[in-house]
Amino acid sequence: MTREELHGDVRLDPAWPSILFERDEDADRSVNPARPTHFEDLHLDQVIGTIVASRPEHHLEPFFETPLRYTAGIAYRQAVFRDCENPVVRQALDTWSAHMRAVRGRLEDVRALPYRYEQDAWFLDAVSLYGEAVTALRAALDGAPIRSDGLVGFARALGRYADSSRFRLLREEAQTVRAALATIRYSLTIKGLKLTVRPFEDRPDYTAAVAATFSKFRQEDQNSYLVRFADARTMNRVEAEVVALVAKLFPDVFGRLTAFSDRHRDFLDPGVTRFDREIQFYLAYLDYRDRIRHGGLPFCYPELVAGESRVDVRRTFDLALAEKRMSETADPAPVVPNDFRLTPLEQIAIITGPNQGGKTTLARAIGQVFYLASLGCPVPGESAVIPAIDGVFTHFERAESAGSGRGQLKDDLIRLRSILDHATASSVVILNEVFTSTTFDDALYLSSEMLMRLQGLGALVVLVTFLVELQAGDPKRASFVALVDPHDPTRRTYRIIRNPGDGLSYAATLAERHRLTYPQLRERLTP
Amino acid sequence: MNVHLLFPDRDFTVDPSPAQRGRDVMDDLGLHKLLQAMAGGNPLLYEVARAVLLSDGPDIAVIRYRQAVLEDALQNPECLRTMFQIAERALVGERHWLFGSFWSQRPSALLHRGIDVMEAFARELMRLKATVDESRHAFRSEGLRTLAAVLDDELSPAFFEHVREHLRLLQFTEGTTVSARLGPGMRPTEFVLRRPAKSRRSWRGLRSSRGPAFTFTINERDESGAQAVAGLYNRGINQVADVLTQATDHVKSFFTRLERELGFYVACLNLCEHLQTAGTVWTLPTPLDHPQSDWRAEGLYDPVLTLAGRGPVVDNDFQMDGHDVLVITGANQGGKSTFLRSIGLAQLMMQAGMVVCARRYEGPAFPRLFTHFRREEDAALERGKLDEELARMSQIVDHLQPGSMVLFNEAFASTNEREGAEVALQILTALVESGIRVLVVTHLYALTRRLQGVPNLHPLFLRAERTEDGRRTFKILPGAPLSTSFGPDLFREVFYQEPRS
Repeated sequence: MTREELHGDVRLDPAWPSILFERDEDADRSVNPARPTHFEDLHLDQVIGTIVASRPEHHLEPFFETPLRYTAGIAYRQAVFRDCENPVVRQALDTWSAHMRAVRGRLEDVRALPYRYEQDAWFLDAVSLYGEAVTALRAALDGAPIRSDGLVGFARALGRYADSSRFRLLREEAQTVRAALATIRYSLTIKGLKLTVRPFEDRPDYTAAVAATFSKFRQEDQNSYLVRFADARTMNRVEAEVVALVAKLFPDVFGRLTAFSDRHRDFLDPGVTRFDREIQFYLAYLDYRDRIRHGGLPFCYPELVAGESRVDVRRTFDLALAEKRMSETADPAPVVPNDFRLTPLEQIAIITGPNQGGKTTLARAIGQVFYLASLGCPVPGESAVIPAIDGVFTHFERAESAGSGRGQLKDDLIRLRSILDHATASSVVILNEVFTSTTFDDALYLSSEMLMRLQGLGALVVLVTFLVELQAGDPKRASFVALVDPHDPTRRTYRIIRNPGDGLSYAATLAERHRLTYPQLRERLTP
Repeated sequence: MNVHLLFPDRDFTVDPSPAQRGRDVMDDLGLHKLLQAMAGGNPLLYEVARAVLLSDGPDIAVIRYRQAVLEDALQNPECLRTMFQIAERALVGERHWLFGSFWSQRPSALLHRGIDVMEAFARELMRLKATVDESRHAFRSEGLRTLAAVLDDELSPAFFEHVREHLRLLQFTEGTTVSARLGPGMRPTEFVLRRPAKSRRSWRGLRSSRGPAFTFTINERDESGAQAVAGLYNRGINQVADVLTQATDHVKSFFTRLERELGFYVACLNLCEHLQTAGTVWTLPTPLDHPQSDWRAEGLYDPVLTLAGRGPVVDNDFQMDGHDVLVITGANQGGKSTFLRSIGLAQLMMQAGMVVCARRYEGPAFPRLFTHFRREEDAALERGKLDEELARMSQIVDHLQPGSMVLFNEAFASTNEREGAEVALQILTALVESGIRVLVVTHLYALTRRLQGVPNLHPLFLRAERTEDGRRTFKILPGAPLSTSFGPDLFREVFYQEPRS
């Protein structure tokens, strides 16, 4: 076998670019993106923060901070997501991720540990695990019902890589050395501070003998008194000494191990490791979604309609709020989902209603749907038909800056001006309680002006306001209102809708409440 | 190794936290006094007796099984008490070795403890065997004969010899030898302890046949090195320390079961001694196969009153004659509650396999017994009281099984008579029609009158006797309810009689 064949450059196909990006251009933008300015307003900082925190080693933030500009790119990801939803595929990818995490862990050990034999052992382990990971994923994808361009393309490239002689020889060699090490048995005698290592000799298992004597007393439930020894990963000096003696008993096997780790330092394929990182985008998001969905809340794949402003989102909700509720209590109060619909004619949604009625939450939820859709992700809600957009702009009243006076008002106006400058007819603009720092007349005037301009621009607008006057008769404006309980006006329902404009004795009653009347009891006591 | 003195086929387990039902039965029947007499100052006996008495009623075969063991115990009280003391002593000795983080983190310490505890256990097992051997010819019951046979089979001289040898070898005077492999990261792993050599001589003999050996020794002043050696040693004996400690657990469990199950019979012996001292009779009752069979008692009395030392107590007879409902009415302070309690206690005691406080007792076995007694303590909260009574009733219903028995004492009297009677009538009718046995003490005349009108109910009415001159005899006799209770009598007695000097 020539050196070429052993170390030839058969790598994962470089023509196959990425599981995340249909175009290189988007991939380039994701290298060091600026975090979108609406992240805090929409609480996406919390949502994304939670998602990426599940896999800190992969640094997924840039992927979540780079919205896609082409519906083809979104469709590419949605297709991969749908493939990942298949339990077989998901399981395969989760297993893969766990394998690769283990590989990285082993390689860190190799760098950190002091004794040569244990470094070599962990290195061999890393190579074997990597080999298993690639082979297992390849086998799983071969039989799996995948349809997306992304995963189908990757599976093909991975297949070629796994079949290459370079990869196969690496595996085989690792296998041989492992097998040789696994056969090694030896005998260790400890007497005081003296340790003796000998070849294995088969004397009776004494623990079994003791157990047999007392087996007559054996009970089904029993405590374990096995002591779990802490930190089983690293070797101490005495163990290193013992292993060195074992190496003297088996010089041939240990020699092969050392040669192996010297020869294969760079066994990791860059294409494979790139896939490993990028696929985490999907897995992290799906894990997060599953947790929320487990609480009974729906998710869906948004349907993006280009060139039309129809919006029809059913049963959507604020992800950050749902997550917060679920993480705070074991049995969280349900988040109330809401519908949000605009006809193609309607361009501006005006949400009014009592304080704490869920207005801001809905506005946030709408913003999240648009943004997450632009990442190619499933979105909160039962179904979602939305226009394809080029960006989300927000201006939310901030509690910490809710001062009053000219300074605040001026800041507000500057920010709104900036939005007007950057937004287009294909943008979504979400404004929440702007102009609260000024007088009622001023607020009404300024808001009307803003709305006129945004209307002229053609952007899709969601406006949360206490100014009901803004709703007045314009066919382009749709008004929504947060509902209160008709029987108890102090109770919030968190539902937001399109604005449409006895004769028993005391004792018997009590008995009935305790389910102790004759018919109730007969029913309770019937087996 | 099974004890099985309470059930022919399983261990008896003590539920440490009695359910609400258990607490109610305890309070309502005055079980505490009975248990104190049975315990004779030993809290364990109190707990065991309580647990047995409050368990669901076993089937009749089990009752007879226990009665046979109890008869053996009554014939050989000293043997049973000695066996119990051996179990007690073994367990007290073990308790000196408290488990703490110290033991559970070091196999060497566990092993050390295991050797000491097992030595003591082996001693007590030998004593137990000797004690049983002395009296086994006198045992007639299946329970004790089986236990004697089990001890015979399992605790052979060979077993004790094996134990002695293990406890010696586990000292590892010639070093500890394990076999091992190379584990993850090359660490020594899969330690299997190999049988230690018996003496220096045989050790030498073996070594010569072993091929190459490499040795190194840690310097005595090298503390971390010595610790690492100890770590290897501890990993080597981890499993045997675990196995030995589990074995001590299991032997301990045997002694615990023995102590607990013998404890029940020792408690019965204690009770019989108390009753003997008080000069009252007791009998081994006859459990009846069929629930409709004749349920009867002669000379039934309340042991709680006897044990309280209130002098001679009135006893009563009764016979159910196939009735499903027993309704007891009559004068206040006329012995109704005492009578109801004595039936409840007799049933519980019979079902536990104990003696019963009567001259003669035959009764059916119920799966569960419930009590619903009027609570006096919270009389201040009149409005909440009916609510509380109903809540308690509802909890009982949750746990009822067909064939259960419920004792009602002045239930649902915390509202006016008409309403109380209405509620009670519906409940009683529904219970009886669902196959529940019901015993009722009530002064709700409206209830008793309406109970007579319910088709297919056929209550048996008993009445607390009152003589012509208004005196109470505390006798409960067959008799239909009278329209008035005897409150006025009591009132008169308290307010108009001359105080005795």
